Amino acid sequence: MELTFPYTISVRLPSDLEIIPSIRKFVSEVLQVSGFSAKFAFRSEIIVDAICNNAITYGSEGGAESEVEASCVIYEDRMEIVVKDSGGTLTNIERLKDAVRRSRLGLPLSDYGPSGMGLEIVKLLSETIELNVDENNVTSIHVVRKREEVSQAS
Amino acid sequence: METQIQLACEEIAGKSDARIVRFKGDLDATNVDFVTEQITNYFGDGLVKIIADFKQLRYVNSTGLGVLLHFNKSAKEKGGCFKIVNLNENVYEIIEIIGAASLLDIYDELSEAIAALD
Repeated sequence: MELTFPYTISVRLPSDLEIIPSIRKFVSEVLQVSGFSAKFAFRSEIIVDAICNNAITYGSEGGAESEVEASCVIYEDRMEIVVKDSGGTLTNIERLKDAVRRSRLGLPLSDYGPSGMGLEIVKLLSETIELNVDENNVTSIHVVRKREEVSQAS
Repeated sequence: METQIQLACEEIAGKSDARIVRFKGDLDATNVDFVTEQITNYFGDGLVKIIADFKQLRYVNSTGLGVLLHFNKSAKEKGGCFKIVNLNENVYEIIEIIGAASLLDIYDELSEAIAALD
């Protein structure tokens, strides 16, 4: 099959962590079919997992009616992911802003609990991470990860 | 939804306070509570020396990595240990990238980890 870059995969997820494994594995498989390495796909799986997990856990205060939108744009040289939640509390938004701003692994690892490392790992595995918050407290996170050989050459 | 992880526990000859726990599947936020409960129960039963065999563990997410660090810390606080063997390359590299390789007791071979229990 001939692939024409870029192409986009978009999904709307229910606010339920149980859906994440299917999404991350699907993205991983698509990346490998698109010629990205197994290592790139694995690391991208961790990124997708972390930002979807974050959106579902902290950005979807509407319970069962909440949804998360995830889009993955695959270019020949990179992958870009945008995950948009349905609106979190001000406390969670401030925490998210702080996590994105903070320097990489700014705290000792021992200070992170089971749920505190996600965005730190995303920062370590990606080229850029941007956070946007609109007037309704809907947040979206945009992550760019370049193909290894491109990333190493630049 | 069915959990994506299976744990199998094995005794170690001559080590009454130790167990090998074999992980199979993916460790992530959907099953981290199950895994935490199992390992905490072992600690509660006095099995404070755990060797986690990751030969069949394909994937660990950030939540799973946090829990591994937590097990390591808890085991040491109880006078035991939480040793990891047979990590696949992808998972090991993530542990290295976040700087946790030096915090966790990682071994290439099961026999090395068992020998290090003494």
